[in-house]
Amino acid sequence: MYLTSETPALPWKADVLAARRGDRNAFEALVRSVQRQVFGLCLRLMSSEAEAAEVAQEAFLRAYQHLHRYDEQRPFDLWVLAIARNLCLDQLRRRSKLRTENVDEMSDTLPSSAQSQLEGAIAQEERLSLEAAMNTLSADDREVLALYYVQKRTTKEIAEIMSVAPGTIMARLFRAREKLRKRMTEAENPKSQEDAS
Amino acid sequence: MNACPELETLFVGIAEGDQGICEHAFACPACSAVMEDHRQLEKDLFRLVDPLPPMNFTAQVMAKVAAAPAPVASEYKAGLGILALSLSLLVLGLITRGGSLAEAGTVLARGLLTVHDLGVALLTGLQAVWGTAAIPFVAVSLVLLVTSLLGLRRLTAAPQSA
Repeated sequence: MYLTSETPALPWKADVLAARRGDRNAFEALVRSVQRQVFGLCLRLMSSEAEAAEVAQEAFLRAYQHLHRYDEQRPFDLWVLAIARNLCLDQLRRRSKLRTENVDEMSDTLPSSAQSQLEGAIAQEERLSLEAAMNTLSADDREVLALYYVQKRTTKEIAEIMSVAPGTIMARLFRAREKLRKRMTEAENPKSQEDAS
Repeated sequence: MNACPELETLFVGIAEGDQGICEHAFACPACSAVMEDHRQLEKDLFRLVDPLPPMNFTAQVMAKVAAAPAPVASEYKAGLGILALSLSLLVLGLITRGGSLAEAGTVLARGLLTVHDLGVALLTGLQAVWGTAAIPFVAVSLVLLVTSLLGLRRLTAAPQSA
């Protein structure tokens, strides 16, 4: 019960202030604290590890260069995630192509270390088919699913990252989940789908 | 049993606790099956985790940060801009108005003379007070000095959190 009084309310604040004064070690600590979430979101949106790493690095560079504009009362991770998200969407717009990667391609996007962590938690095959089905959704749908289910963020946090009204998030989630369910069903029963049509 | 609602209406109704929709959802095999699918899907989705970034990710970020020009606060930039503009206007004014330099010199000299006169007047006043009431003057000065020092000491001894 005493932990709450000892835990700083804004744990990133000291590092942000130090980084603004030019302390690179402080900025490195900030990067380490959020790099997994930022890279994870970029990977879900870009679907390529190399591109995701490139965009995530660019997001951190932008964050460093605009650190004086950052309001330290706002969670640092949400701020960087919003930067990363915008960069990803810009990149996707430039690329302007529909994502149609298949299961095998998607399996290459996840690093082996992450795969080994997931083994045991969920069957590899099931995870791959889920990831593959997710990968066929639109960027908006992938984003909301990744933030809510993978990063376990609240609807309020997601709304802040996506710059939308919090009340719209649950409906977005439902629609994305329903699309995913249909893709999963199609993938599991391709024959019956063909027969039905 | 009522007809099956749209799926979005079904889920929103359940989330909002709509009694009619809830009753239908639990009684209707088709709606129950869809809800079960979603529940299972959510369970699987919650098991996913973010992958770790590449091993050299942080090092690459810091290399880019080191190579980038040092960020300058926008307020600092704006301040420098205002200063540069003011100095430019001043120089421009001095150049375009021939008598401006002479006027500025006169104003400066007048200001120095005023300060000198004020200093002489203060010194004369102090000499007059010293000549007529030296002891009360010293006593009052000492009291003021001690009071000020005590006040400063109290201020510096006050707790930081206050």
